[in-house]
Amino acid sequence: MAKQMTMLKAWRSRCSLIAILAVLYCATTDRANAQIVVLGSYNNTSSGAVQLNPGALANYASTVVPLINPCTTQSGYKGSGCVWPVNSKQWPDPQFSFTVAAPYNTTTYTVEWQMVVKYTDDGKYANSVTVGSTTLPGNQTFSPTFNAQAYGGSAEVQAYVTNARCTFKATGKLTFYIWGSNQDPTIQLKPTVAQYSTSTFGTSIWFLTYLLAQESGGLQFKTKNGHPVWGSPDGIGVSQVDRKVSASYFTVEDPYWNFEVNVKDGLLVLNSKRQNTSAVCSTTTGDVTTACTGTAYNFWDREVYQACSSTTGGSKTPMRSGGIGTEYCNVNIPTPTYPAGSPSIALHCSAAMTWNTSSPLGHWQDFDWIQLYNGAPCGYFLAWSTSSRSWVFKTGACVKGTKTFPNYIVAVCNHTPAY
Amino acid sequence: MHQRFLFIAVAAFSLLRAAPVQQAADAREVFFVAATPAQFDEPKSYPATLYAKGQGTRLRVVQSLFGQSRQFSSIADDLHGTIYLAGPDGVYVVHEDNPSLEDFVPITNFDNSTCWGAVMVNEVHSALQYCSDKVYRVQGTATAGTPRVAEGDWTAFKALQFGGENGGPFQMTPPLAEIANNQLVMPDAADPKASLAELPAAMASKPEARRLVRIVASNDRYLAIWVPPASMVGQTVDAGNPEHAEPLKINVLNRATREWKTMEVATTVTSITEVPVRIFGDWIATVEMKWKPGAPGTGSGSPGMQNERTVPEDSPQPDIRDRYYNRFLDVYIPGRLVLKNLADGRTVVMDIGQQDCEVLAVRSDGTMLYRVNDAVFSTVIDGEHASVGTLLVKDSEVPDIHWAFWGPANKH
Repeated sequence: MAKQMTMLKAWRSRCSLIAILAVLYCATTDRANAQIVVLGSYNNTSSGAVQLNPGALANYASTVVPLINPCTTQSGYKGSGCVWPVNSKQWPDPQFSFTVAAPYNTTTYTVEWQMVVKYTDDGKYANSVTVGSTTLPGNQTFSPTFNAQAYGGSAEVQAYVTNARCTFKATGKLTFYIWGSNQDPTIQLKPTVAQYSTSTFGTSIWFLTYLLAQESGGLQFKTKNGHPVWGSPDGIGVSQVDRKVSASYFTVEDPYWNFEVNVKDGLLVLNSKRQNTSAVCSTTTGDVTTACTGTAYNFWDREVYQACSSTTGGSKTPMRSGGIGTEYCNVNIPTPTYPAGSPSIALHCSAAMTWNTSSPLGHWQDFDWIQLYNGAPCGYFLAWSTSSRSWVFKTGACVKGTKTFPNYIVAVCNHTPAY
Repeated sequence: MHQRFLFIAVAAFSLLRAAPVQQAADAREVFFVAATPAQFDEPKSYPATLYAKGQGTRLRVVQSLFGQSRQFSSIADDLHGTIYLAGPDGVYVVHEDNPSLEDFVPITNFDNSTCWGAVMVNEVHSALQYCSDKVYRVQGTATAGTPRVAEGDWTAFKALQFGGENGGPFQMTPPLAEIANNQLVMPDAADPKASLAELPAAMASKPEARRLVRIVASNDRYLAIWVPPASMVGQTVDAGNPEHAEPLKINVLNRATREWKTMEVATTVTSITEVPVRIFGDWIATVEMKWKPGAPGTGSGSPGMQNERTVPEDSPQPDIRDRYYNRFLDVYIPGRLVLKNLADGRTVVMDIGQQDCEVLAVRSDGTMLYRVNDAVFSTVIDGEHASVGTLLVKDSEVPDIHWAFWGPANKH
């Protein structure tokens, strides 16, 4: 027994020595040659697979930039025809695929893959997405998908290669950028807005093409570099959904990279600013005596109520002909008249410069709604002043901090349509 | 002609010299109401808080009245020791003889669009009245067996108490009246419910003309009104190019003599601003303003804008500087406080040199509190002279302070 134990110890000692030597061998051989080359490609349907590392260089910072969503251009990934996303409802996954170059592309090696994409917007909000991570034999392709959600920015793909004979690992990297290319205004943006306008409001909204144009020029990405369009204080993309104010829309990165999601979110924000349908805000007196004025049509009802009551004094009888936004008075009251000499808003908005107490959409009420989408930093565009017994139009510039912004309504009503 | 004493005191200098903290001679604690009335054209509202002087020159919270989400709307001071702050869900009553007393009266139908104000019922009982579907009254103090909220009385507005327009750029809509022949009436000339005063023949107007009157101030001794020119009533207003009235001529009734006098006030009113006048006993106080068109974002060259608070858009605090830029468009505000004594004719002028300044309180013994940006000073009017005040408080919430009062005498 003692002899057996002695032999066992000797054997162990010998094995340990062999293992140490093997490791040293690995360290001195593999490490010396540990130039892990990560190869990558993405699918561009107009020209097939595009190589990200055509020179097969180690730790390569690729100059190839996948562009998300072009439709009419041929410079990047193209969706399923130019009708995307209305039909497919899929973010155009660039279908990235990565491999390690020889000699590590065999089953002798195991590769731990990870793809991380980071983006910090102009408002300094930092985003980081792990697109995928997995461990595969060296001869297999890493094809990360991120639940069909959109991502972009600075991408880093890491490959940790392990030689099966030992525990040593070598690392290779491939870095590149993913930016965006804008949707086609007619083929993509227009039907997308129409689709979500119908699903959100039940009808088309007449001013959306001007509002989106004013917000972003109808663009999801900056034309000069493909970065998401950003506007102060922290508006993102085609509808300038504000990350700071509407943080709930940014639990995923889609509003940055997927114009369809951005449009959808923007219209939801717009809808939230139209009216408060809570019970207390759905009555004439409720709008006046409670906190309902944070939404445009409720604010309008209060203004008409006050115009009615301050014009008729004790004999006021404001009432509604329909839902929120349809307040009227039982006697004639002054109706808004756009002040002569003020900047014109007639180019696109003349039809809405009308008094209508049965349907708010398409009439004066909408100007306050449009204004509120911009946050009304200098107040509503049209309000009733009790102390001067008149309608007040806010036609001037709005000063915020050190900046002077042009009048929002004037800008919207004069902007070239987005589509 | 009254001798005028002009005291040059640039506020920045006042702040920098770190004046010693004054102890009130009678040791009565000073309280401050920081509240920003809701604006007729804005979706936002702001908090309202009652403060006292804390450690050093900092403020100390006595009561948090309205948080931002509770939509504080309007404030009314009965000028007899009770202040009412109203919002959609109720009224906070601040008792100047017991400021720490929490007194909230729930209401559900507050409306300041037609009538609203503090009144002294039978010259004894303080109350708040407002109109909704009818006139309501909130009693200033609870009385056993009497509901705190009940139907009000139009005629009580004859004893309307209104201390005038708060300073700062967030003004509130004042009480309004109309002229029916030779009567100043509420709510309107076509169907008058209450007469506030008899007007001189020169001011008379036929009821059908519905001549609008803004109440400038109203206390036990005086009633001050402003009749806006026809060009500033019932006309569409272009806020980017407002009309203005200057010099401002107000009409003041001496209730004791029943005499009306026309008084020129060194300030201006535009079609989007209110009359910047307040009353403290016999003193009429104003912040001097001049019509001076200027490019947006210049404040028409008013001094001290760089010292005014400016905040991000999502801040619960009001943005003082932006509001001056946008509301007081084409108005130059040199930072000069002008007080006139209606009883003896004295005039006191204080050159502060900072746009955001206002008189907060003047006591019968001449003690005066005034605010300059984020600091409140105390001084004493001596004849026609008021020296540079001593610093009472300086804090980030001070720009929201527009009312101040002395609490009960310190028992110690």
